Amino acid sequence: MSRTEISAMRATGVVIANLLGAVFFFVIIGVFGLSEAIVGLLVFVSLALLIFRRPQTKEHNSET
Amino acid sequence: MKLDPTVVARIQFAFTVSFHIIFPTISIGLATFLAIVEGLWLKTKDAVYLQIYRFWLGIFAMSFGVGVVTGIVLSFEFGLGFARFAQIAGPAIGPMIALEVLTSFFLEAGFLGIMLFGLHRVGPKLHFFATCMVALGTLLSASWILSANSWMQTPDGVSIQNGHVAVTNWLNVIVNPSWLYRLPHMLAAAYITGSFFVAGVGAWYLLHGKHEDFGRRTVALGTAFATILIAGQVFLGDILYGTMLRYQPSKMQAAEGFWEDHSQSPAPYYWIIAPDQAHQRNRFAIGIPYLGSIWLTHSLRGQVNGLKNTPPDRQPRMVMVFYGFRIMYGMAILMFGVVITSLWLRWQGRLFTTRWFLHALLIMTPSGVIATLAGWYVAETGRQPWVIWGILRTADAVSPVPAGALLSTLIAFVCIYALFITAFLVFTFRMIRRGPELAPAHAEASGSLKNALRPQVMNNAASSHPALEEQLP
Amino acid sequence: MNLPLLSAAFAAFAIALYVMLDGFDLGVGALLLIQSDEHLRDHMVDSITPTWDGNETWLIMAGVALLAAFPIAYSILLPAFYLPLIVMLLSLGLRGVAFEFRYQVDSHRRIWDVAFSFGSIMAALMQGLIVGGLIQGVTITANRFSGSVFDVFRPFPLVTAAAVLNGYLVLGSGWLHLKATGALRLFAERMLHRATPLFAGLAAVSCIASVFVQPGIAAAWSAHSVPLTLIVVLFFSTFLAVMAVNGGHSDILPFALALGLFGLGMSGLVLVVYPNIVPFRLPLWDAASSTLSHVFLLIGAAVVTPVVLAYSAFAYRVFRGKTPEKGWGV
Repeated sequence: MSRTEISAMRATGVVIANLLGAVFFFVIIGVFGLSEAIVGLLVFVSLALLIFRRPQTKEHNSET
Repeated sequence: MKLDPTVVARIQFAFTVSFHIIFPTISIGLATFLAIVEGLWLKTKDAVYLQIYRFWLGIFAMSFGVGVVTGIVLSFEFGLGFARFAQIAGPAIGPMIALEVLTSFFLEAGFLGIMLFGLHRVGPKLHFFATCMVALGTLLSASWILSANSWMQTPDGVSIQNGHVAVTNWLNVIVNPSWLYRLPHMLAAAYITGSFFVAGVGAWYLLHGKHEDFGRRTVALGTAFATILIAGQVFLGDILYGTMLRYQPSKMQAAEGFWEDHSQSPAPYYWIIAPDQAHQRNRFAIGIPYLGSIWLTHSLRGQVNGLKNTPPDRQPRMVMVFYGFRIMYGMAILMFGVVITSLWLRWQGRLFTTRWFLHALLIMTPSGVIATLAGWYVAETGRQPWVIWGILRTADAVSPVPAGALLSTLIAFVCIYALFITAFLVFTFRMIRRGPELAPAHAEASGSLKNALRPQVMNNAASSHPALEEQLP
Repeated sequence: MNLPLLSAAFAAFAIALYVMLDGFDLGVGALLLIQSDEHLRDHMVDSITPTWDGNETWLIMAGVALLAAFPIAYSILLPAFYLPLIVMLLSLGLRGVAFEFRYQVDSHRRIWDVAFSFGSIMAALMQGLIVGGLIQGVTITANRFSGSVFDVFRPFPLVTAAAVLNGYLVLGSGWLHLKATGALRLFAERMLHRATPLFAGLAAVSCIASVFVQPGIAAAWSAHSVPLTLIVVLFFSTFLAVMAVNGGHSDILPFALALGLFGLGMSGLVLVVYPNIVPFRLPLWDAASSTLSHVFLLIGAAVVTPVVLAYSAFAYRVFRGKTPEKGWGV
């Protein structure tokens, strides 16, 4: 993949992540109801726990 | 100039309690963090965990110390500045605080010595037990004092007989209507504070390329805890909001910045207002359209109740409650944004190498303290003009002490507390700059519990233990 | 069952423990000022570091027990002693943080030691001042404090302030006699030799002066002449005993006897003050909360205090013996 493609992918990813984050926020603070909030919280926590297992790079990344 | 004792007494209490709350918030968070880290060390034998434990133990000790001494002040300040409040509320909150002293202060104090100085005098399991006991102590302490404060907010379980409060039902006093909602909220606040503190310091090391294992581990731990906790916290916050709307409607009315009985529909969410309490209106107000209805009424066009629903002589000051709430909530949104970012970067495997994010973590280091303080300002200024909701007004609760005495002692507090916080910050920064020590190769302690209690071992341990010998110059 | 009496007993127990435990902490702190050797100063602080926090907690226990069980007395006494209490709280604060902060510096430790010492001395003086002020009596009208915050700054309380400070010096020296070795042990013996007669003398002066300052004392003497005379005699004998065992074979005897001096002094005070909670002004039953408050406090106290005493004793046990020369090594 070229650098532009990676950046474009990354930019899309950023937008999606932000949108998802906002959605989770609204759900968890109860805008759509209490049971929805509880479910939203549980889904968020489960997702987070899964993501915590991903390995991280150790060397300094030259792109950043 | 004639000073009003009520005003000076309130400023004095506000100052001492605001100063105080910073430190237990940090201590409660760090104590549990230390217990987790020590447990992980015992389980995995990974030396980095011990390194993390020893580093943060030093900062915890200072924070705990300042918290204790500023807390002692408060236990007497009820009577010093607000004797009438003490007399009225004593029968209800006195026994609760007495139990706080008995079940948590003594617990912390009893095991703190072992936790701080006993790494080489007791076995590792006993030491871990000591750490856990201190962490438990901080949790119990928060529980009792939250119950006492919650009783002031939503009193229950008492009857008033010729000006005296008599407890009729202890369960209702302790498990009063708001306690069970406010307690998890405060505990989460403390744990979030600890998480961002730890993550921020770890980020600093990564940015400077020092102590990288330590930095990575603490950034990972800190952001992980923060992620779960802030999600839980905003959930809890909304539920607490609903509870307080029921029991202290004037507080939530003041918090949102609306004056009219019913706001416009749809209601905006205000972020900046200039309230004019005397004329019961805002000079100007800036907000995000529709968001007020969405967040506050969970509908697109719902109306919000304004402060005019409360008679003016029972209204809290809107400017304090509103901005306290906005700062707290704004911080929560920022924190949520940061953890979402951290999840995104983790997904990509770039959590430790994305410099702008590490800078963000660094800036967020004190975020928990700011949010907690702001939240407490909402709680306390929003309860006004009551000191015990519906029972005693703050203005009627002041001590028969001249304003001059109150003012001079206020100045003394400011000076001495300035010394405390300066020293705390100077020494904390120094510890951070110095960095964590390399953990000794085998930092086991002198032996089993049984062994630890034999006098010969105690006196020999300090002078002949291999781990100690390695450290001595 | 006389619940207010039991609560008063618990509060008195808390005060007694505070005085005996933090007494030696404050005494050691005060002695720092006259100890010019930095290593010995480190040693002195090391001897009290692991257990001081629990000791100080008994002060909060006493104050809060008063709030819970005798809120009227609390609301009278705290404004009455507003100034000395604030000074005491700030001094205890300074002492407390000095513990943590002095370890952070190498070259400027002397400054923190001075702060430590100053805090200890002021706290001791303020506590003594309040004792004197209590004996002297506070002005109340309709169960509210109606005097001046400056009432406590009079000659008699100043004498008791000096007496209490010296008493804590005796306790502090006794503690060092127990915990120290070598040069520090000799220092402790010297201080014990000087402070004990001074304390006994000031206590005697306070005792005699109190009769003139407070009519209630004379009344107490006639009502309890036998036990009070016994206390005086025992106090004097214990004082002589301390002088005799100082520097001797037993490490712990001077300290134990010094604790005895304080125990006797406090017993005397209790005899003289009972049945009032605001001395000579307000009987404890008139200042008490209603029943359920006492019940909660007493049940909590009865259940938890033994546990507290047990693990506090354990903490002392972990750090028992002579304080290591090299400190706590962490």
